[in-house]
Amino acid sequence: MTKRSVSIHVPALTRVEGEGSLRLRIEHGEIQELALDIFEPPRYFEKFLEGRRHHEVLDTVARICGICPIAYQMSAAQAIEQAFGLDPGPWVRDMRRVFYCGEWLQSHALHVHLLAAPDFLGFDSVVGMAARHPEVVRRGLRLQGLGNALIRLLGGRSVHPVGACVGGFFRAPDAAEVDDMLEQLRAALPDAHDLVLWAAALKLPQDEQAFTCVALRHDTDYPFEQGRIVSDDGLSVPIEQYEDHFIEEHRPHSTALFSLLHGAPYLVGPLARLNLNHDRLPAASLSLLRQTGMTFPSNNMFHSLLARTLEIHVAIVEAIRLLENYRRPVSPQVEVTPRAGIGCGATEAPRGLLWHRYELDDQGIVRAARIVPPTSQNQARIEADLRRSLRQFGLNRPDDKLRLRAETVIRNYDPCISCATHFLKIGVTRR
Amino acid sequence: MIRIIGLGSPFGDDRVGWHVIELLQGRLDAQVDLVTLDRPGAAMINWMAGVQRLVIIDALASGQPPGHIARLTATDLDSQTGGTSSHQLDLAQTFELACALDCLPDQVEIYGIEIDTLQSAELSRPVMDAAATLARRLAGSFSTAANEPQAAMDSIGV
Repeated sequence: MTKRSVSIHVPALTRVEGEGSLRLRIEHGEIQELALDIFEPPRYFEKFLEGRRHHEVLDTVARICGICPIAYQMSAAQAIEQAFGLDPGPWVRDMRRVFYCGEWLQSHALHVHLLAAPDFLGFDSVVGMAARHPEVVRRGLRLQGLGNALIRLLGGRSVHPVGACVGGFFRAPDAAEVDDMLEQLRAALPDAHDLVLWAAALKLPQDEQAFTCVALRHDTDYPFEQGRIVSDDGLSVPIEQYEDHFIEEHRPHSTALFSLLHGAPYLVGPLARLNLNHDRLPAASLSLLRQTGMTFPSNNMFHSLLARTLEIHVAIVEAIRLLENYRRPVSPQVEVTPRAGIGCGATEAPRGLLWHRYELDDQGIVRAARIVPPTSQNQARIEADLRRSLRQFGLNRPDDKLRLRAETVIRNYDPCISCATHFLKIGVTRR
Repeated sequence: MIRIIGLGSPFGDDRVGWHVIELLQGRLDAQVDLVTLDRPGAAMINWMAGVQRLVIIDALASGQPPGHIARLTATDLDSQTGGTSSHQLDLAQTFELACALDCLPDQVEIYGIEIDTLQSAELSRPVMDAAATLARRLAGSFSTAANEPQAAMDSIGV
């Protein structure tokens, strides 16, 4: 009998957003056990938020993730405003999209260049890749820096930004700041254009598989901060009905909850967004996609990389469009009057749909909070993908090859345990 | 250009890098730029552009007593994570990447302050004292103002 066990252990590290492990047991050439365990900070935050006043929520949820604090702030703001019956108006909506563009830019640029590209170009890390492809890495760092600059424009700082509030923003940038930003964004368009063509030319694994995509969909725009929740098997519901269709369940091996749509795993994130919204791309991004010869929807999970690079282009194009029409408002926020109620918020974090629900009392104090982050929604899908991808790859391959493929599959989802997957340690027992 | 970067997080003594930057505000010559970041990595490399002399201030856990100040160079560091990720490119890897991209400043100095606890919301006393000491010495080194003592940076032991 051949018995083979694979385990990953990740120590809790300061400044690391999560931790996780993969347990894999192969016997007689078949996977007997495959369990992905992700440690999930947002679950604790749901309790931290109880008893907090509404104006404390955005600063608190921004701490959930150092990579995508804006996503947490935007979903929370939307939910609280819905509970209060508050419409912050078109200026706030536009600036929230701009703010979000900054987060997509910096998060996607980091993932593509620091994590994914070394996998697909055959390097252990970005350091090795930088020695051979310095211009590619420099371009990625420039785009990441641009994202941070965009976040600073509205957030005051790029690390745990503090500019957003329920009702809008604390401060509106002046015309000179916006002009300077526009100049930087226009100058970066050729970088984004070249990045998409570069990604399309990469030799990505051919790994066609069936999966259900879930994302927001807006009447006219590529989704960032508004839309209905849709799937490619026919779901189309307002965000308030999320709980009628999606359930989360505990599994013994994980502290995280596994999300299921009508009982089955599903995908959120850039590939799901693009598969469901390619007809909502800005004209320039759609034209660029056509230039690559690639078509969407795609059922190759590794096309997530291309989707991320295209969304970098979308973010720049969209930020330019919105800032070209910028007018400084009389006030960057609308007045907030608390009232008792329940509100839901759903936006598209870089890693996918991020759903919040808050119950507030008449003083605006949080009585209950629920936060469903993208990584936990993808967890069941990652397990299903691993099970099939490893079998297709060949379970009798050497341990280091098997480990690299498992890491690559997991990293492709850009989970908040991205760092963890580099700690994969394999112990093999053969009998 | 000279740039001083304080690395940290909001957690207890880990925020010491940010605290030193706060203490230095308004005390240095105009050509010295102050930045706070929550991690090394790609963002830090973007802050190296056009910099000749880079000073990093970070929390350190090396077994020394809390508040001990260590002065290190880029080559003194070992990578602690053994891999890379968008979340955790450590300081050594960040310097390796900067080197590969040919953008590492000519002079890099790192000041690590030995930390005590991450559990409290505030800095511990020895770490707060060490931050004040380091800020005073950096102010002396990077300021021509008469009220800042011209401290010898070499006096900070490793």
